[in-house]
Amino acid sequence: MTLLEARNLGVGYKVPGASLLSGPRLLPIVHEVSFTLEPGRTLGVVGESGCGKSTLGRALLRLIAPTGGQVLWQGQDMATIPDLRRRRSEMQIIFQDPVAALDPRMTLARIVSRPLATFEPGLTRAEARARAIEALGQVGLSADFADRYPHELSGGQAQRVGIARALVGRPKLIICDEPVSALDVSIQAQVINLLMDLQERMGLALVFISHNLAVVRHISHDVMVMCLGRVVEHAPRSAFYAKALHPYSQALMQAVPEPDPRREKGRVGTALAGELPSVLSPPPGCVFASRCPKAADLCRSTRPVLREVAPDRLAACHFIEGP
Amino acid sequence: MTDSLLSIRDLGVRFRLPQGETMAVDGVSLDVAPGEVLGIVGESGSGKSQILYAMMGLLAANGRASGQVLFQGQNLLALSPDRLDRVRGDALSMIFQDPMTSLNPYMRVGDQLAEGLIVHKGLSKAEARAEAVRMLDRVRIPDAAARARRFPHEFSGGMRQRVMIAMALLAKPRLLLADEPTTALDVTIQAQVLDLMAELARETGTAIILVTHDLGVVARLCDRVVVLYGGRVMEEAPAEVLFDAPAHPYTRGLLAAMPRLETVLTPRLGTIPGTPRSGGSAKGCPFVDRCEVRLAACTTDRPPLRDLTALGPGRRAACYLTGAAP
Repeated sequence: MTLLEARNLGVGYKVPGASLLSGPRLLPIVHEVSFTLEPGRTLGVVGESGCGKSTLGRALLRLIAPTGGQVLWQGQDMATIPDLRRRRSEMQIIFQDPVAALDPRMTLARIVSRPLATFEPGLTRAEARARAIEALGQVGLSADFADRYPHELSGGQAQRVGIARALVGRPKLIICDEPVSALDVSIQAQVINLLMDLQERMGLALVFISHNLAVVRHISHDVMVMCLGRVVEHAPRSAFYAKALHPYSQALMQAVPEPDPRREKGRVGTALAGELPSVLSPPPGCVFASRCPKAADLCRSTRPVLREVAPDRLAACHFIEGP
Repeated sequence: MTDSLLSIRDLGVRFRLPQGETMAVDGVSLDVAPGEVLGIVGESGSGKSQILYAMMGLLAANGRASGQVLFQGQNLLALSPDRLDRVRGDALSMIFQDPMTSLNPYMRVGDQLAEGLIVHKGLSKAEARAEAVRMLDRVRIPDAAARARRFPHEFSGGMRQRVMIAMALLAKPRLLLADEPTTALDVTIQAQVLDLMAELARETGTAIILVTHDLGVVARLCDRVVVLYGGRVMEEAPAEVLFDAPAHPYTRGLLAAMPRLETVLTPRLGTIPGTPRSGGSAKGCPFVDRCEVRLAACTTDRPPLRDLTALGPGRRAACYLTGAAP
């Protein structure tokens, strides 16, 4: 059964009105996002700053109430799930800054066991502590970490603790919001491998939010590219990395520097000019039109809809050529 | 090297801490030729940024540099503050990771650029402003004349970093020090800034030392690479050679740990066990705790940085296991 489904999900934030007299207005951040996620699978969500990927991640857990559309958890509309707070043991989130996500005054055992006070209030302290130690073990931290404090940890260890806290309620889904961006390369690889191992062992589904296309390639089964709050491309991993279809995805791919001087020296001078428009004043047409090398008048006036351009492949572009 | 623009010899950077002294940079020697782009790569705590700070006289108050930094025939570490001021912002400039905190928020961007020219080159205010606008245009700030009258907060992150580059290059320095200049930027903007740096280096013959944790950025921009770990040079090589045939186990580990776009997917990424060491002078090799091919000698005797002439010109590595074999 499908674990998580988004249907035309929209999210916005209230911002001050244009003048003192006008009330607050709703600034839309995420527009009409739809996807399904099966158990044991990873959806990679990739995009640049301000594309709405983190907002989407939070809305999927209803940490922010959507302003449009629906999120279905195992087929049930999340808005109608009674006692969602307790149900969130099944759906957890980990964050980018692993140290800031941990309370500096608590021991790791308390940090990790704390969600159990909500999810399984019947547990004794000893039982909760045992569960915390079990979760720490699952992320490769031995029991003697239980009584340490966050300041004694390296960044990679802190992120492992964040993952342990997500695991303690025995979740089916973890939203990973840029979980390795703050880590050194050698530690980033350890954490990615850990997430993949956990997925394999526990059948976890992951929504992996990242700005890093190479990291997303490694961990995801499907990839969704967002630009200014909209999905511009959505495809299975292998097809996407063999040939990205949307010009924005292609531009991102070109821009990523790879550790290969022969490839890279040939790319000097290929960067796209200009910057993405602001979320505060999105363009009427395609979100990428101002920077797209293929943009025509149609792109500046009419927004392309996300459509199936090849089997299993969605893209939002007026001029897509098939793969 | 006789044609060096910069020669660093046995540079050490120590910090006094409540728990004692720690060595952030430990016996680093390297050379930069005119017009060359040298990459210094390392993880957190490798001491990569401290090398640049030591050169610029910008170490924190509890830090002290030793050794020699010979730049255009003078030892920067021995210069009086006055003399150093004449070199900094003139023949030697620096750009930083966070362009917002490097710009004065109260000063119009054009005035900030002009300031250096008035101080270092003795230009009049009007001449300096005109030159500033020309340079902003050169780094592709749209509508440069109008933008020069704006404040830093009115610029996007990518534009601010281009302003920093414009400022650093205004005095036509011989050497530009860049400390993680694109780390805070989105990839498409990073690509623009890297393009710009490559182009300006080529046109003006300015040499660059690029400090970064990102081997991809090194591959795009650098001619030669120094790999740093625990304050020491682990390996040095021409860029293409380093990526094709890394000689040091640490370099090999780093490359295997990098997820890539175009290689065949492996089920798991390569890893280096443990966490990066930061500073602290060890008896043996600083990488020994994490090294999977270590010998008994690696824990007791520090492997010296040796020329690997058998592997090609310009190659050095500090490992007992490399260089011995053909």
